[in-house]
Amino acid sequence: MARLPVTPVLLLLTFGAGAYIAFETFKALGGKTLKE
Amino acid sequence: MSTCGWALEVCGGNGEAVVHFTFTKLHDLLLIHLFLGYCSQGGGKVEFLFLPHRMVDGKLSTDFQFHPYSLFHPHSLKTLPLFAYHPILMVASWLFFAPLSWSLILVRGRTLVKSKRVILTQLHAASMFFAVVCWGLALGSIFVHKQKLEKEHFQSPHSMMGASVFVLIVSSYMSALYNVVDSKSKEKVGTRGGVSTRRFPLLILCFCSQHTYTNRCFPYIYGLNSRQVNFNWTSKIHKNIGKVALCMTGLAISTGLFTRWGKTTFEDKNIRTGLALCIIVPQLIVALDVMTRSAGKEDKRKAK
Repeated sequence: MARLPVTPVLLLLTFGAGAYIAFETFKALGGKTLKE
Repeated sequence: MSTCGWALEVCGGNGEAVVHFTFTKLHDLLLIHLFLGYCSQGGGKVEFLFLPHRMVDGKLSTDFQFHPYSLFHPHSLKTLPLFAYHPILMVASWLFFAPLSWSLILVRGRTLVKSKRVILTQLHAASMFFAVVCWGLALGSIFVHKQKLEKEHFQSPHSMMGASVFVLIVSSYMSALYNVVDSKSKEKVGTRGGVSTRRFPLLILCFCSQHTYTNRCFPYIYGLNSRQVNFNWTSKIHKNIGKVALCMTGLAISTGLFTRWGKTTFEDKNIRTGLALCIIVPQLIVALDVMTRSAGKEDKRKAK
Protein backbone atom coordinates (compact mmCIF):
# COMPACT_ATOMS: atom_id res chain seq x y z
CA MET A 1 0.00 0.00 0.00
CA ALA A 2 2.88 2.32 0.76
CA ARG A 3 4.10 2.47 -2.82
CA LEU A 4 0.79 2.96 -4.58
CA PRO A 5 0.47 6.37 -6.31
CA VAL A 6 -2.73 7.05 -4.45
CA THR A 7 -2.16 10.61 -3.23
CA PRO A 8 -3.95 12.50 -6.06
CA VAL A 9 -6.90 10.11 -5.89
CA LEU A 10 -7.19 10.48 -2.13
CA LEU A 11 -6.83 14.22 -2.37
CA LEU A 12 -9.51 14.42 -5.05
CA LEU A 13 -11.87 12.30 -2.97
CA THR A 14 -11.39 14.52 0.07
CA PHE A 15 -11.61 17.80 -1.85
CA GLY A 16 -14.64 16.49 -3.74
CA ALA A 17 -16.44 15.54 -0.55
CA GLY A 18 -15.58 18.92 0.98
CA ALA A 19 -16.74 20.86 -2.08
CA TYR A 20 -20.00 18.92 -2.18
CA ILE A 21 -20.70 19.51 1.51
CA ALA A 22 -19.93 23.24 1.17
CA PHE A 23 -22.11 23.49 -1.95
CA GLU A 24 -25.05 21.76 -0.31
CA THR A 25 -24.68 23.91 2.80
CA PHE A 26 -24.80 27.08 0.70
CA LYS A 27 -27.76 25.73 -1.20
CA ALA A 28 -29.60 24.86 1.99
CA LEU A 29 -29.15 28.44 3.16
CA GLY A 30 -30.94 29.94 0.21
CA GLY A 31 -32.67 27.50 -2.01
CA LYS A 32 -34.88 25.26 0.09
CA THR A 33 -38.03 26.93 -1.13
CA LEU A 34 -37.36 25.56 -4.59
CA LYS A 35 -38.29 22.12 -3.33
CA GLU A 36 -41.61 23.28 -1.91
CA MET B 1 -46.15 25.38 -12.68
CA SER B 2 -44.88 27.62 -9.88
CA THR B 3 -43.10 30.89 -10.62
CA CYS B 4 -40.07 31.93 -8.62
CA GLY B 5 -38.69 35.35 -7.89
CA TRP B 6 -36.87 37.37 -5.29
CA ALA B 7 -37.95 39.85 -2.66
CA LEU B 8 -36.06 42.26 -0.45
CA GLU B 9 -37.71 42.93 2.87
CA VAL B 10 -36.79 46.14 4.63
CA CYS B 11 -37.17 46.07 8.41
CA GLY B 12 -37.06 49.06 10.72
CA GLY B 13 -35.24 49.39 14.02
CA ASN B 14 -37.97 47.50 15.87
CA GLY B 15 -37.58 44.50 13.55
CA GLU B 16 -40.95 44.94 11.85
CA ALA B 17 -41.13 44.87 8.07
CA VAL B 18 -41.60 48.33 6.59
CA VAL B 19 -41.74 47.54 2.91
CA HIS B 20 -40.61 44.89 0.47
CA PHE B 21 -39.41 45.09 -3.10
CA THR B 22 -39.85 42.29 -5.59
CA PHE B 23 -37.47 41.30 -8.35
CA THR B 24 -37.48 38.69 -11.04
CA LYS B 25 -33.71 38.53 -11.35
CA LEU B 26 -31.32 37.85 -8.53
CA HIS B 27 -28.70 40.37 -9.61
CA ASP B 28 -31.29 43.17 -9.47
CA LEU B 29 -32.00 42.26 -5.87
CA LEU B 30 -28.30 42.18 -5.04
CA LEU B 31 -27.65 45.60 -6.58
CA ILE B 32 -30.53 47.23 -4.70
CA HIS B 33 -29.57 45.31 -1.57
CA LEU B 34 -26.04 46.69 -1.66
CA PHE B 35 -27.16 50.20 -2.64
CA LEU B 36 -29.76 50.52 0.13
CA GLY B 37 -27.48 48.80 2.61
CA TYR B 38 -24.71 51.33 2.21
CA CYS B 39 -27.10 54.31 1.98
CA SER B 40 -28.68 53.42 5.31
CA GLN B 41 -25.38 53.10 7.13
CA GLY B 42 -25.33 56.63 8.49
CA GLY B 43 -22.84 57.42 11.23
CA GLY B 44 -21.91 53.78 11.65
CA LYS B 45 -25.37 52.92 12.98
CA VAL B 46 -27.52 50.53 11.00
CA GLU B 47 -31.07 51.85 10.93
CA PHE B 48 -32.62 49.29 8.62
CA LEU B 49 -32.21 45.60 8.10
CA PHE B 50 -32.47 44.08 4.64
CA LEU B 51 -33.62 40.51 4.36
CA PRO B 52 -33.56 38.78 0.97
CA HIS B 53 -36.25 36.15 0.40
CA ARG B 54 -37.18 33.63 -2.20
CA MET B 55 -40.66 34.14 -3.67
CA VAL B 56 -42.80 31.31 -4.92
CA ASP B 57 -46.03 32.07 -6.82
CA GLY B 58 -45.84 35.74 -5.80
CA LYS B 59 -45.67 34.97 -2.07
CA LEU B 60 -42.82 35.40 0.35
CA SER B 61 -41.37 32.14 1.57
CA THR B 62 -42.61 31.29 5.03
CA ASP B 63 -39.17 30.19 6.12
CA PHE B 64 -36.49 32.74 6.65
CA GLN B 65 -34.10 32.03 3.81
CA PHE B 66 -30.80 33.45 2.76
CA HIS B 67 -29.16 33.21 -0.56
CA PRO B 68 -25.46 32.39 -0.43
CA TYR B 69 -24.53 35.72 -2.02
CA SER B 70 -25.99 37.45 1.01
CA LEU B 71 -23.16 35.97 3.04
CA PHE B 72 -20.91 38.66 1.66
CA HIS B 73 -23.19 41.53 2.51
CA PRO B 74 -22.38 43.35 5.76
CA HIS B 75 -26.01 43.61 6.83
CA SER B 76 -26.71 39.99 6.15
CA LEU B 77 -23.80 38.99 8.32
CA LYS B 78 -25.73 40.39 11.25
CA THR B 79 -28.64 38.05 10.76
CA LEU B 80 -27.13 34.98 9.14
CA PRO B 81 -27.42 32.03 11.54
CA LEU B 82 -24.02 31.59 13.09
CA PHE B 83 -24.40 27.86 12.71
CA ALA B 84 -23.94 28.16 8.94
CA TYR B 85 -20.34 29.22 9.41
CA HIS B 86 -19.53 26.05 11.33
CA PRO B 87 -19.82 23.46 8.52
CA ILE B 88 -18.44 25.85 5.89
CA LEU B 89 -15.35 26.77 7.90
CA MET B 90 -14.83 23.20 9.09
CA VAL B 91 -14.89 22.02 5.49
CA ALA B 92 -12.37 24.74 4.56
CA SER B 93 -10.20 23.72 7.48
CA TRP B 94 -10.26 19.91 7.49
CA LEU B 95 -11.27 19.08 3.95
CA PHE B 96 -9.16 21.68 2.16
CA PHE B 97 -6.21 23.12 4.11
CA ALA B 98 -5.48 20.01 6.19
CA PRO B 99 -5.53 17.60 3.19
CA LEU B 100 -3.33 20.09 1.35
CA SER B 101 -1.05 19.91 4.34
CA TRP B 102 -0.80 16.12 4.43
CA SER B 103 -0.35 15.93 0.68
CA LEU B 104 2.68 18.21 1.06
CA ILE B 105 4.06 15.86 3.67
CA LEU B 106 3.53 12.94 1.29
CA VAL B 107 5.36 14.81 -1.47
CA ARG B 108 8.16 15.60 0.95
CA GLY B 109 8.48 11.91 1.69
CA ARG B 110 9.45 11.29 -1.94
CA THR B 111 12.40 13.68 -2.06
CA LEU B 112 15.76 13.59 -0.35
CA VAL B 113 16.83 17.11 -1.44
CA LYS B 114 17.13 19.08 1.76
CA SER B 115 16.11 22.49 0.37
CA LYS B 116 12.92 21.01 -1.13
CA ARG B 117 12.15 19.22 2.10
CA VAL B 118 12.50 22.46 4.06
CA ILE B 119 10.17 24.36 1.70
CA LEU B 120 7.60 21.56 1.75
CA THR B 121 7.75 21.45 5.54
CA GLN B 122 7.15 25.19 5.74
CA LEU B 123 4.27 24.97 3.28
CA HIS B 124 2.85 22.15 5.42
CA ALA B 125 3.08 24.40 8.48
CA ALA B 126 1.55 27.34 6.61
CA SER B 127 -1.42 25.34 5.33
CA MET B 128 -1.95 23.91 8.81
CA PHE B 129 -1.89 27.46 10.11
CA PHE B 130 -4.77 28.42 7.81
CA ALA B 131 -6.55 25.19 8.76
CA VAL B 132 -6.23 26.09 12.42
CA VAL B 133 -7.49 29.65 11.81
CA CYS B 134 -10.61 28.35 9.99
CA TRP B 135 -11.03 25.70 12.67
CA GLY B 136 -10.89 28.28 15.47
CA LEU B 137 -13.49 30.46 13.74
CA ALA B 138 -15.71 27.41 13.14
CA LEU B 139 -15.48 26.42 16.80
CA GLY B 140 -16.20 30.00 17.84
CA SER B 141 -19.28 30.19 15.64
CA ILE B 142 -20.81 26.97 16.96
CA PHE B 143 -19.96 27.93 20.53
CA VAL B 144 -21.63 31.34 20.28
CA HIS B 145 -24.56 29.85 18.38
CA LYS B 146 -25.18 27.30 21.14
CA GLN B 147 -24.74 29.90 23.84
CA LYS B 148 -27.36 32.09 22.19
CA LEU B 149 -29.83 29.21 22.02
CA GLU B 150 -28.85 28.15 25.56
CA LYS B 151 -28.06 24.65 24.37
CA GLU B 152 -25.72 22.36 26.24
CA HIS B 153 -22.28 21.61 24.84
CA PHE B 154 -20.67 18.19 24.21
CA GLN B 155 -23.90 16.21 24.17
CA SER B 156 -23.59 14.40 20.83
CA PRO B 157 -21.01 11.93 19.46
CA HIS B 158 -20.09 14.60 16.91
CA SER B 159 -19.21 17.18 19.53
CA MET B 160 -17.32 14.61 21.62
CA MET B 161 -15.26 13.67 18.56
CA GLY B 162 -14.67 17.36 17.90
CA ALA B 163 -13.49 17.86 21.46
CA SER B 164 -11.03 14.97 21.11
CA VAL B 165 -9.72 16.54 17.90
CA PHE B 166 -9.17 19.75 19.83
CA VAL B 167 -7.14 17.94 22.48
CA LEU B 168 -5.13 16.06 19.85
CA ILE B 169 -4.31 19.11 17.73
CA VAL B 170 -3.26 21.15 20.73
CA SER B 171 -1.15 18.21 21.95
CA SER B 172 0.40 17.89 18.51
CA TYR B 173 1.51 21.52 18.56
CA MET B 174 2.61 21.37 22.18
CA SER B 175 4.72 18.26 21.56
CA ALA B 176 7.05 20.32 19.36
CA LEU B 177 7.82 22.60 22.28
CA TYR B 178 9.69 19.93 24.18
CA ASN B 179 13.33 19.14 23.62
CA VAL B 180 13.87 22.18 21.44
CA VAL B 181 17.49 22.64 20.35
CA ASP B 182 19.68 25.68 19.92
CA SER B 183 19.93 26.48 16.19
CA LYS B 184 23.68 27.05 16.30
CA SER B 185 25.09 24.77 18.96
CA LYS B 186 22.40 22.08 18.46
CA GLU B 187 22.27 21.69 22.22
CA LYS B 188 18.98 20.97 23.88
CA VAL B 189 17.38 24.05 25.36
CA GLY B 190 15.58 23.35 28.60
CA THR B 191 13.27 25.52 30.61
CA ARG B 192 16.27 27.50 31.80
CA GLY B 193 17.37 28.26 28.24
CA GLY B 194 17.44 31.72 26.78
CA VAL B 195 14.03 31.36 25.14
CA SER B 196 11.15 30.01 27.10
CA THR B 197 9.27 28.71 24.09
CA ARG B 198 7.16 26.52 26.30
CA ARG B 199 5.42 29.58 27.59
CA PHE B 200 4.63 30.94 24.13
CA PRO B 201 3.14 28.15 22.06
CA LEU B 202 1.24 30.61 19.90
CA LEU B 203 4.56 31.70 18.50
CA ILE B 204 4.52 28.58 16.38
CA LEU B 205 1.28 29.65 14.76
CA CYS B 206 2.64 33.11 14.13
CA PHE B 207 5.81 32.03 12.43
CA CYS B 208 4.89 28.70 10.82
CA SER B 209 8.56 27.99 10.72
CA GLN B 210 10.98 25.33 11.74
CA HIS B 211 12.64 27.73 14.09
CA THR B 212 11.92 31.01 15.78
CA TYR B 213 13.81 34.27 15.68
CA THR B 214 12.68 35.59 19.00
CA ASN B 215 15.90 37.47 19.57
CA ARG B 216 15.48 39.49 16.36
CA CYS B 217 11.72 39.97 16.36
CA PHE B 218 10.81 40.32 20.01
CA PRO B 219 13.96 41.30 21.87
CA TYR B 220 12.06 43.33 24.43
CA ILE B 221 9.65 40.52 25.18
CA TYR B 222 12.04 37.62 25.27
CA GLY B 223 15.15 39.42 26.43
CA LEU B 224 18.22 40.48 24.50
CA ASN B 225 20.04 37.31 25.43
CA SER B 226 17.40 35.02 23.97
CA ARG B 227 18.55 32.34 21.59
CA GLN B 228 17.34 31.14 18.23
CA VAL B 229 15.91 27.68 18.72
CA ASN B 230 14.57 24.94 16.50
CA PHE B 231 11.21 23.52 17.47
CA ASN B 232 11.04 19.80 17.74
CA TRP B 233 8.78 19.18 14.76
CA THR B 234 10.54 15.93 13.96
CA SER B 235 9.46 14.34 17.21
CA LYS B 236 7.61 11.08 16.84
CA ILE B 237 4.96 12.35 19.24
CA HIS B 238 4.12 15.25 16.91
CA LYS B 239 3.90 12.96 13.89
CA ASN B 240 1.88 10.23 15.57
CA ILE B 241 -0.54 12.57 17.29
CA GLY B 242 -0.99 14.33 13.94
CA LYS B 243 -1.95 11.05 12.30
CA VAL B 244 -4.43 10.17 15.04
CA ALA B 245 -5.87 13.70 14.86
CA LEU B 246 -6.25 13.34 11.11
CA CYS B 247 -8.31 10.17 11.54
CA MET B 248 -10.34 11.75 14.33
CA THR B 249 -11.22 14.77 12.18
CA GLY B 250 -12.55 12.34 9.58
CA LEU B 251 -14.69 10.63 12.20
CA ALA B 252 -15.86 13.97 13.60
CA ILE B 253 -16.96 15.24 10.18
CA SER B 254 -18.60 11.91 9.38
CA THR B 255 -20.59 11.91 12.60
CA GLY B 256 -21.53 15.52 11.79
CA LEU B 257 -23.13 14.26 8.58
CA PHE B 258 -25.51 12.17 10.67
CA THR B 259 -26.64 15.01 12.94
CA ARG B 260 -29.87 16.92 12.36
CA TRP B 261 -28.01 19.35 10.08
CA GLY B 262 -26.61 16.46 8.02
CA LYS B 263 -29.98 14.76 7.74
CA THR B 264 -31.71 17.91 6.50
CA THR B 265 -28.91 18.96 4.15
CA PHE B 266 -28.34 15.46 2.72
CA GLU B 267 -31.67 13.72 2.87
CA ASP B 268 -30.47 10.57 1.13
CA LYS B 269 -28.74 8.29 3.63
CA ASN B 270 -26.60 6.72 0.89
CA ILE B 271 -25.14 10.13 0.03
CA ARG B 272 -24.24 10.73 3.68
CA THR B 273 -22.61 7.31 3.92
CA GLY B 274 -20.74 7.87 0.65
CA LEU B 275 -19.46 11.25 1.83
CA ALA B 276 -18.36 9.79 5.15
CA LEU B 277 -16.41 7.07 3.33
CA CYS B 278 -14.85 9.63 0.97
CA ILE B 279 -13.58 11.48 4.03
CA ILE B 280 -12.55 8.65 6.37
CA VAL B 281 -10.95 6.21 3.93
CA PRO B 282 -8.37 8.64 2.44
CA GLN B 283 -7.41 9.85 5.89
CA LEU B 284 -6.92 6.32 7.22
CA ILE B 285 -4.84 5.38 4.19
CA VAL B 286 -2.76 8.54 4.48
CA ALA B 287 -2.15 7.98 8.18
CA LEU B 288 -0.82 4.49 7.42
CA ASP B 289 0.90 5.55 4.21
CA VAL B 290 2.88 8.39 5.76
CA MET B 291 4.05 6.04 8.47
CA THR B 292 5.39 3.43 6.05
CA ARG B 293 6.86 5.98 3.65
CA SER B 294 8.65 7.77 6.45
CA ALA B 295 10.08 4.50 7.68
CA GLY B 296 11.41 3.70 4.21
CA LYS B 297 12.97 7.12 3.71
CA GLU B 298 14.60 7.09 7.10
CA ASP B 299 16.40 3.90 6.20
CA LYS B 300 17.61 5.43 2.93
CA ARG B 301 18.88 8.56 4.61
CA LYS B 302 20.78 6.49 7.10
CA ALA B 303 22.28 4.38 4.32
CA LYS B 304 23.46 7.51 2.55
